[in-house]
Amino acid sequence: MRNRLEANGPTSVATITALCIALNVDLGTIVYLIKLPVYLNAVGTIAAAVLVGSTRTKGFLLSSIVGSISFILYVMAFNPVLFFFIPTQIAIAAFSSYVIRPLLRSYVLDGLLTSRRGALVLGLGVVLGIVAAVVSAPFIAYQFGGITGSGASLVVALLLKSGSTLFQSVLVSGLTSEPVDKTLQLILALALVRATPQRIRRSIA
Amino acid sequence: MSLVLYDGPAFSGRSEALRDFAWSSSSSSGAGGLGQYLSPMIETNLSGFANTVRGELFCHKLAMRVQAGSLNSVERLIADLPDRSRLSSLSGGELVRLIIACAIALRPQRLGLDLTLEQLDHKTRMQLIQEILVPLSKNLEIHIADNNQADIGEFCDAKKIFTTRPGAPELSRPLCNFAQSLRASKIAVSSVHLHDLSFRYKSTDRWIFRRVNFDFQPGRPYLLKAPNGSGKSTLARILLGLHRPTTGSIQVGDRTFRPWRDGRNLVFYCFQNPSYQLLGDNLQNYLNMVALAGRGRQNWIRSPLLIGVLDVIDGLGLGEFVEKDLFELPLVIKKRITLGASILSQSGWIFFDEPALGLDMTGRIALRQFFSALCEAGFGVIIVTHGDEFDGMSNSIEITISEQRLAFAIDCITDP
Amino acid sequence: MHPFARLALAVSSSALFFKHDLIHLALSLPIIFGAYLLTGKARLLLMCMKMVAPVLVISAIVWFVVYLDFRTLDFGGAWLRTFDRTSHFVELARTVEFTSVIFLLLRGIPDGEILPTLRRMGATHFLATVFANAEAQVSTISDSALQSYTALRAQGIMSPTWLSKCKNLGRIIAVTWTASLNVADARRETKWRHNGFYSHQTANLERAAVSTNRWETSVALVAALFFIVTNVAGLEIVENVLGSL
Repeated sequence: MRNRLEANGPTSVATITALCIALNVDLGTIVYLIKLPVYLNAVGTIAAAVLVGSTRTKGFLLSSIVGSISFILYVMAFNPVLFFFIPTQIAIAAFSSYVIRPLLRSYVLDGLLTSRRGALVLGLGVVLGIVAAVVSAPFIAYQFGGITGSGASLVVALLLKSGSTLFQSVLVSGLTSEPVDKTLQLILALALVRATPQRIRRSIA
Repeated sequence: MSLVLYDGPAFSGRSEALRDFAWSSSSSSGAGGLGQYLSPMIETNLSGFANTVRGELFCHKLAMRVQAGSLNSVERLIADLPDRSRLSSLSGGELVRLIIACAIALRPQRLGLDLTLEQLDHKTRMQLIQEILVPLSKNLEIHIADNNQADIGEFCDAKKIFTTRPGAPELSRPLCNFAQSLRASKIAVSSVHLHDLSFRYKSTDRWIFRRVNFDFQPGRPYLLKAPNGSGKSTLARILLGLHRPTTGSIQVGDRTFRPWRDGRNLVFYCFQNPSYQLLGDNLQNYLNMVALAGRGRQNWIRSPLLIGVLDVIDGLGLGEFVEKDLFELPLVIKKRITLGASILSQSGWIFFDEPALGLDMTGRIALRQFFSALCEAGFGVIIVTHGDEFDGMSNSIEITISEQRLAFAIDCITDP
Repeated sequence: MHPFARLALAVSSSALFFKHDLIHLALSLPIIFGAYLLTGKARLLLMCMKMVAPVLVISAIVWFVVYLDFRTLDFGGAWLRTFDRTSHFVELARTVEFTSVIFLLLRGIPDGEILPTLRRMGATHFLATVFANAEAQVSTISDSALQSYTALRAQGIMSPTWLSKCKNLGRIIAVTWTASLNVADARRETKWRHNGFYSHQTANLERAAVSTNRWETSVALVAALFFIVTNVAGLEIVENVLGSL
């Protein structure tokens, strides 16, 4: 593998993976800086899961790399605290590769994503949001103590004040924001997959 | 070793020949080993592993240290590049010098420059050729494809002539014919007056424009020639509403225009690199998008041009490219598409940034005719250029940016 | 800093997670400050503090409000609970300290040296290439996004109104994506592969010159040692020292 890589140079897969990472970081940075109530930091992860690799497992591996490296780069770029959301990214990668990809990939690539399937996209986005909220809850609760200074932390504080446990508060706070955010991210990711030129899609399949 | 010029029109196979020369394991002159090909897309010649000049040089194992008094070619290329500058902040000329230095640092036997030098203004180009490429060609075989034959020809050891391939698309004649049909149209476009306009970026204290008063009249081409960093792009961005003037105003006709909040579009901007502005699956998709946007808003044209997307596609000779992937099209075709878009957008004024870049001689002649036709039809035309390809156009005015003001170029000539 | 020293410091800073109290965090803080200042990274330290300070301050205030009993208004008690040795706020502070070390180690890599540094830290070719390329692409994509925004405005497809910007958000991202993709793929094919740049870059990677400064390497190794000692046995050492005094 090493000799082939050195001899022929990286494949299109490597360049697309790197671009997906950069996209994650850039979109996430923009919304963080202008204080939009969304995250948009997994668009690249979802796009990589749907687009890259010839099988779902390869798609999962590559999108996990996208998610992990994105959040390491966040540490470098603007927010050292985000490092511990890497497991959430891996969960998003898994759901995107094993659920979203088989259900939507062929429709998106063939331009057949009609309004009927729009309901499917929305549904998958909501479920993706639930998955992200459930996976990130323990990390937010026990790595960050539940309150990180973001808008969602205020919801956590309110719930704590009303008598809920820390984990319950974090979970409920996540479930109120993540589905909307992840649905938007799924729609953007599918748009990117559709916009990818044919010759590049062929080289990374 | 030698310096060879590839002379030929568009679609004559120059790029392919250059790539073959650079990448084949042995060239016709018998020089084997590694070759370097520099593509016309400057960004693709960067490593992709660095953000600054220092990082880029490090990737190519080049040191910034320059030993005084013994500058070799590579060191001369990078000597005055700011070490910590971000690559995105470098000018076109600086980028070209950097990529040539990095290519040489890889110790090639052959170097192919594909329209790379076209990005440079005349003075920088001559300096690069005389001081760097000619001495380098003693030890390195260098082949150059460039449309400015007059500059380079005298320094080359040999010339390879290329002719148009059979079946190559005919582009110049359709453009000339289209220009003729445009002349018959008449639109009414308002003049643009910059009144006491001043601008500086918030992050610096440097004024780009100070109390500029200038009238732009439609129907005559304005040739904007000014050094890099003088404010050409800033002027365009102000007219597009991307920057708000610090003081002063913009009048269109007899009305004040605030493009930073007004939905009307005064100027259509044709980028130097058309890839930045193309979107959609194919060219018809893109032109439809621009045309729809143009029809769907209020504009400054008082009697719009009645022309459709299909008329533009047929008129500009783009018919055979309709189904092709936009990004796979050659540079000259992409530039042609943006010309079509400029008419369909229903913006009265069109700002062309280096429109002749990458065009051969017949292409430039056809483009001159097209710009003249636009002016005769009543459009407002501003052309940013470093060269002389549009000099002497009928009714043209040469303007420049000097001392933070727009001025007629003739006013800036000082007596010896 | 030698790549091995970076790796050692990164691994040793995870010792922060052995304990969960304010004393160990307080003992680790001078090590972190020292590592930044002694390696000449004061500017990075300031950058890091600007990023994490709002997070810590807001968190502390919110926890204070959570702990404050509005019936008795026991402010002192609420503050004590917020900064209690084993409070939830301390969990955040611990995480922040750990990631500030990672921030120093990653941001401290000079531009252009990420690929050889990661390779020498044990990353595979693929991962190191992807990481280094992605890091460089972050600013490229951001410039490209600005370019796309300009292009849509410049062609009258997007107007300055908020509604138009929202409607065209997807277009901006799509144009940015396709433009960046085409440049990256063309670079890979032309520069990396045919021009032989990638094989030049990776040749003799084990001996590739990365910037190694002996002083920085020493500081990193000493800091790593202190992290382990402090977080494994720190409190006992302080008590022994105080006892002996």
